[in-house]
Amino acid sequence: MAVAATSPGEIQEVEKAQSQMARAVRRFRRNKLAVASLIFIMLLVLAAIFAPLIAPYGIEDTDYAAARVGTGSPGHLLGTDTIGRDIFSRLIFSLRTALIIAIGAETIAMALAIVVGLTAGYLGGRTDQFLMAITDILFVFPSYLLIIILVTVFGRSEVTIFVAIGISSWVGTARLVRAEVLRLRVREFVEAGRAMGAGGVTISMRYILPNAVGPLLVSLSFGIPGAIIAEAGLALLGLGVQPPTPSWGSMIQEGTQWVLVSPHMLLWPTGLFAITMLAFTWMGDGLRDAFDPQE
Amino acid sequence: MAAPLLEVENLRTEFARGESTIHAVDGLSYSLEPGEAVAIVGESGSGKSVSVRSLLRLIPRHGRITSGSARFDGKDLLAMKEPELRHIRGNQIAFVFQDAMTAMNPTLTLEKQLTEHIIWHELAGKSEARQRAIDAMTSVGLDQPEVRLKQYPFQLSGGMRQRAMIASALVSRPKLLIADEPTTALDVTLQRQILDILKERKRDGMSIILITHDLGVARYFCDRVIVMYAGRAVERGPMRDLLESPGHPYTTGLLESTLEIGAGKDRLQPIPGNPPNMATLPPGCPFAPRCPLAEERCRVEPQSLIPIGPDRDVACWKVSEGATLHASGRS
Repeated sequence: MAVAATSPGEIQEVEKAQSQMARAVRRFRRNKLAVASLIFIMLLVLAAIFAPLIAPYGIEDTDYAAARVGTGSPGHLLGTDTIGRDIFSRLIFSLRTALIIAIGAETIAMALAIVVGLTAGYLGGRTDQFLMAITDILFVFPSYLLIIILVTVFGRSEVTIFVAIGISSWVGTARLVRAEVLRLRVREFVEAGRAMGAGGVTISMRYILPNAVGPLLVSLSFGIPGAIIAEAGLALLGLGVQPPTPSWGSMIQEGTQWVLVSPHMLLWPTGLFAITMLAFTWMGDGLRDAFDPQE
Repeated sequence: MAAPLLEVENLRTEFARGESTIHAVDGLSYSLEPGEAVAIVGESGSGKSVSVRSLLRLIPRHGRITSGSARFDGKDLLAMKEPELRHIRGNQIAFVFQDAMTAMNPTLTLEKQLTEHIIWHELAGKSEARQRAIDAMTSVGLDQPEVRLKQYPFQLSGGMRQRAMIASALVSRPKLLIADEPTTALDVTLQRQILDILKERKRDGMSIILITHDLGVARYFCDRVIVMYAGRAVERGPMRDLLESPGHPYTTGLLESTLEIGAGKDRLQPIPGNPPNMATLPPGCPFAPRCPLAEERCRVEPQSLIPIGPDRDVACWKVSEGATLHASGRS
């Protein structure tokens, strides 16, 4: 018996339909501030990747004759620091440090958050109670203090710093993931997946997690500047990456000591830092609005 | 006839709600022969949906199957270990849900949704699975299957999605297809097309359990009917017999409120009152508060299914006492 084929009316309906992702992209693009922030962040990332090509000097190139010269000096666009190192070059290289730490920390944080959140939310019951008890304990523990303790104990390499930041900043995201799991696991398509014979891991990874990408992306976009701030904060306390590796925090810290004589040493790193943080915040806001199901 | 494909006995499913317990399915029994189609009919909340989900143990966490057995192909689905049961789901027993809009994973392409499960169940390799998916899509009337395989559910219209979901259930060539209100979310022309697809599967020898609230839909291809009310079967019987001479007053009420069947009359006769609150069921027949024929006895003493003819059972005091039910103007 022939079954009637799809009618033309059905096909028209298709063109109007849009995926959640396509809708989010369209909404994001309407937000000019968020788009500008995204472009700015991409430029920073490019600068970090191609730092050796962009920076006119190396991080340890000292020019004693031109120590602490101001902005616009010949050969040193943004001036130099106390031992004559080019501030522009060091800023470009410090982007690398910031990026490595942010990406490393967020990778660890996201991985922990996803594993804990999915397990707790999906299995529920005792496992959920146990895992959430741990996250609650970590949640009330001041994470900055935890970072300081970890860095003090394990040293100041970039790796220990981002590991320390990572393992002290996954808690909020884990709760977010768990909440998403609780929201999604009662959805009909998850039940349909089980009815097709999918096991727990398949359900978690292919049915639940991909549908929680929006909130995770938003969380990530706030987590990255969080990690950068944490590293800068460590540097201000003298616990940042080992010199001479440049980092925003250590440059700002150095700048504060000379602020009355050579304000450019504080101005440029702080300014770029502040603008970067704002850009991440605006981009994160844009993402959050784009994925907001309420609209 | 050969041994039944599915034999459900005394199935009970409960939900804990605060202090009280809801008996969503309260001692349901039925059997299904190979190639037979059975309709489970009832209003929302009558437990029809939970009863079939219980067979595959796909009930919400606060639910519990407290007793009963469901022998499928000789093995008890309710006693089986989870991995063994998982191997039956989506393989020998497939499910079609009410609303494909919400029952398809929005992040997977149709190819994944139509082939993944048969690859898990090792019914086919990747390329063979793809071919089977294309065949299944063609058989449900989806045009351009190769193109559709690359699409996501949101790129399909409601009717196409429903076809795709049925195709996904058919790919594994199940022995039993459970369709839970497969046409409720669709408009009338699409309903008919979807029912045609199911009817055709039945002709090919597939057993079908159809969950519906609409006897008009059930009549379309089902051989037998189970009418459920408040978690219990109140009447069972062959489709034709049941339509011609409904036994239970609830069945009569359902028939009189069904569009197609009641079409000879000027107006439909709705059943008065609302479906019962499952947490506070009356001690007697659960339908008694809405029943035009209810007597004192109906309100205090429950009646179980009593045979009234070949393959016919009704759970009603009035029927088992031999009272005439159709004095109310049906001819």
